Amino acid sequence: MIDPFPFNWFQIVKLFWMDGYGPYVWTAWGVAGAGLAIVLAHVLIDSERTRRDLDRIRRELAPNGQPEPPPKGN
Amino acid sequence: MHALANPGRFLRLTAIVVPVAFATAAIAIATGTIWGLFLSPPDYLQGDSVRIMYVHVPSAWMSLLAYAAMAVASAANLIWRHPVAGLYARAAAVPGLVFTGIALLTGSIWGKPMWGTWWAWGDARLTSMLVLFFIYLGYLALWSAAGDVSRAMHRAAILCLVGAINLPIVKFSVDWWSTLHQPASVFRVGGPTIHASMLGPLAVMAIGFVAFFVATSLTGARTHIRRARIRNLRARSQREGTAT
Repeated sequence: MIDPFPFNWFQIVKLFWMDGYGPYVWTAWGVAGAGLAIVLAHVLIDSERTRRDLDRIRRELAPNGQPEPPPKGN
Repeated sequence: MHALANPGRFLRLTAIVVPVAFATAAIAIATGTIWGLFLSPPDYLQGDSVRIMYVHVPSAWMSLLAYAAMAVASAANLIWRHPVAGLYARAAAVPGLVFTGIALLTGSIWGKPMWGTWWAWGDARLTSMLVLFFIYLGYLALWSAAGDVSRAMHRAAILCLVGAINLPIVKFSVDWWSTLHQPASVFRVGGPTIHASMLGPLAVMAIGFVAFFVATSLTGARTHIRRARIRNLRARSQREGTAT
């Protein structure tokens, strides 16, 4: 017969509860994770938007609609 | 540093560095998270609350390192008139501000179970870190307030260098004033006092945070350089439109 509770749930809860310090630890790590995620999203979205703007403006200003290739690395 | 003053060269070099830094950050932070949360031992006095250290301490180090990088870039901008240096300082301020915020919040969360209080105004380390947070905010506000980029860059660079006086105050506050915050236990004369089983995950998280800062600040600087190119193209187009 298959055991419907293969894990010792008490051990898992204990691992996350951390003798009462769990809520503090998880909140602190959550704050740090959220902070890093915000910075990451901000720089990546801003970077992509600016790159598209630059491409669009280069296309608009090119005499035949074909912009000259951007410098390498850009 | 002078070689990086050329925007084209800066973009070429950072196109290689940024993906490497992002990959390093992802691997180190993932490893440090598992190691710090589940594999490292609890402290004999602080118990499992010590696991907050693995995000709090690297964030606090990064808040100082980011500001130091901004100060060096601002000095280069003022002395040699390198616009890329000024744009890099602006880009480094965003992750620097967030790292300072993380250090303040996680420190407060750690302080409640250990000190019995979320905040202590009499503590020099806490107060000087809060001052650093406001300096970051002021720096970014100055950039936004001054309409012209070159003027904003110049004024923000001066503010950044003046604000750098706070860095040694933050670093040595725990030595100069004996308050709630514990003295340095890693970067100190005589070596670290922290056990190797905790130093390992702390070092890995610190490497991850440094790589994250390098990746995000350089990506931000690349964005600011592109934005400057957009401004130049628009200005040139307007000039040509006026001339014809």
